Amino acid sequence: MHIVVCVCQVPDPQAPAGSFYVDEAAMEPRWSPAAQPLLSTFDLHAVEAAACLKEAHGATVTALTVAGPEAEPGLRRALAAGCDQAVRVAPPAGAGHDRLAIAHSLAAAIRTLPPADLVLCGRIAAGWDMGHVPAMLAEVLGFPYASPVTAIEARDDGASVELRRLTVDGYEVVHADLPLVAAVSNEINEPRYPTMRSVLDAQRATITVADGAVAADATAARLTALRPRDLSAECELIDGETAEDRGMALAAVMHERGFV
Amino acid sequence: MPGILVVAEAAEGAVTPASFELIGAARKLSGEGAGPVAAFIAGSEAQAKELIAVGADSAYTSDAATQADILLPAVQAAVAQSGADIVLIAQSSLGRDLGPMLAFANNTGVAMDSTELKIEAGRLRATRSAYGGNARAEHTWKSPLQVVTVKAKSFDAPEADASRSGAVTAIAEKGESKITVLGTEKAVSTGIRIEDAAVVVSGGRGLGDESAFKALEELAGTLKVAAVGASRAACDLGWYPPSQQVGLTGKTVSPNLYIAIAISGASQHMAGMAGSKNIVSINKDADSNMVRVSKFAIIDDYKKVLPALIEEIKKLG
Repeated sequence: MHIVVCVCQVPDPQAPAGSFYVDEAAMEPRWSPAAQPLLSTFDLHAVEAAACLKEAHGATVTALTVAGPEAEPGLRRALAAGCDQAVRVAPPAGAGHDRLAIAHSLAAAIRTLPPADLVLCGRIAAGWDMGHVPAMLAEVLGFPYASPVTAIEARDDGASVELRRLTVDGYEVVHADLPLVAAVSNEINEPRYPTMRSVLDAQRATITVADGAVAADATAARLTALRPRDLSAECELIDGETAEDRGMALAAVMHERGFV
Repeated sequence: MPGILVVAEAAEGAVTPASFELIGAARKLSGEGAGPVAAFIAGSEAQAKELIAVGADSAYTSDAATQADILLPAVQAAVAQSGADIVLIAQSSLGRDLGPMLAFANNTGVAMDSTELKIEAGRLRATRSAYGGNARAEHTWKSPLQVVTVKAKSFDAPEADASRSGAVTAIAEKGESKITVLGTEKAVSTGIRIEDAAVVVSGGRGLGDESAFKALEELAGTLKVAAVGASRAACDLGWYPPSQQVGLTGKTVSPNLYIAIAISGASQHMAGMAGSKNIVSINKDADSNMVRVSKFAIIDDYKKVLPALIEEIKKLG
């Protein structure tokens, strides 16, 4: 079985909010060293899911990203966590935030690899939170699609899988033939900490840089503006002589506003 | 003639509240010059008429199963028949799949989880929150069809007016699914679901220890329809069940009132609650992100504030 895990890097979601700001002219988020980019939360779970399938059934796992060289630490993290090889495709010129172009580029890269049986993605890129690239990727590839997935069991025939998919009020169990695109949610597993040995091996591994990004389609949706949070509404500090007074004053304000 | 198509949904025989909110959003856009409002529902004629009563000018029904790949050809047909150039879909289990699929089928893009919509020079502009609410991204389209999914509770549902009328057309097209649903299971939940609570009281690592959640539960108990949540940090420390985690890797809530106690407001947490209507925080740090986004805040040790707050709410209640 060949599993491709599509990954991306995001600023650390646990970093203090103050370490993040918006560059309105460039329409790009920026962050200070306190929020160093990490492999996106859900992608870590996708890598772990691939590693578990590899252990249980035997598989080759390829980590794939469409990004600049700054994304290589994320690929090395994926290698340390169980991926066998890593491929980086330079993003298409002018793609900006055109995620349809990213989906096309991922699909083009996947087609250059040995045939993929299973393509795993995180359910959303933590931070950007759109979550539509996996579905678009499935459409480009013509593969079935399932999301948000919280369990994957490979069937003995090697040609199909059984998945658990979250619904509004529980989950459904679905059966799908391979090849398939599955976007995984964090409930699926607890990503392992890579061993020192695997981290060192990953540092030495060669990351394949592939050409062939698909140019952005200028007719698709585009990001028109990226603005910082609207902080025009000032926070009203509730004051008082003592902490108790403040607590009582807050109760009064909440009551007066009809909050409670 | 351009127009708007709302993809409505039914759950357990009833049109979902989010569907009516989409009609509210569509009526607003229609008022800004986006054309008439058509509604699509995989449901009954009676449900189609409910959608007309709240503001749709016409409706399409389909008996296709509510799975994105099965429904897609039916929605495509409704887009073609209505002539709509804007499609509004709820950010639901279905919408998360259908939005990107519909966009792909039309070689266009989709703005997911949008919270604000407006018409500018005849075209749609959709705004959504990113990086835990630290950034607001605005999207426009160059391609003819503009597809958005809309976050729940972003728009008000219009009042129903039974005198409204419009044509209801049945659509026969449907697709085949490449996946087979073998079974479903409902999650067992006790008490009020945190996603449904009008008030959420949440605690973070700043609480200092597990026992503090008892006080948060007491506060929630004095507020009707309140649920208790926790930040990822607090859940990772084992202080509160992961089922109550609010944030990127937890639940997304948008209550009328969100009380954040000792939560600094990293984007991990904000991603799950930035849509709250009113945020009140109790925090020692006046510069914390959570305080900055709050309507009201107390800068103090929550241990000293909470007992008085709870007592006073009981008195006033």
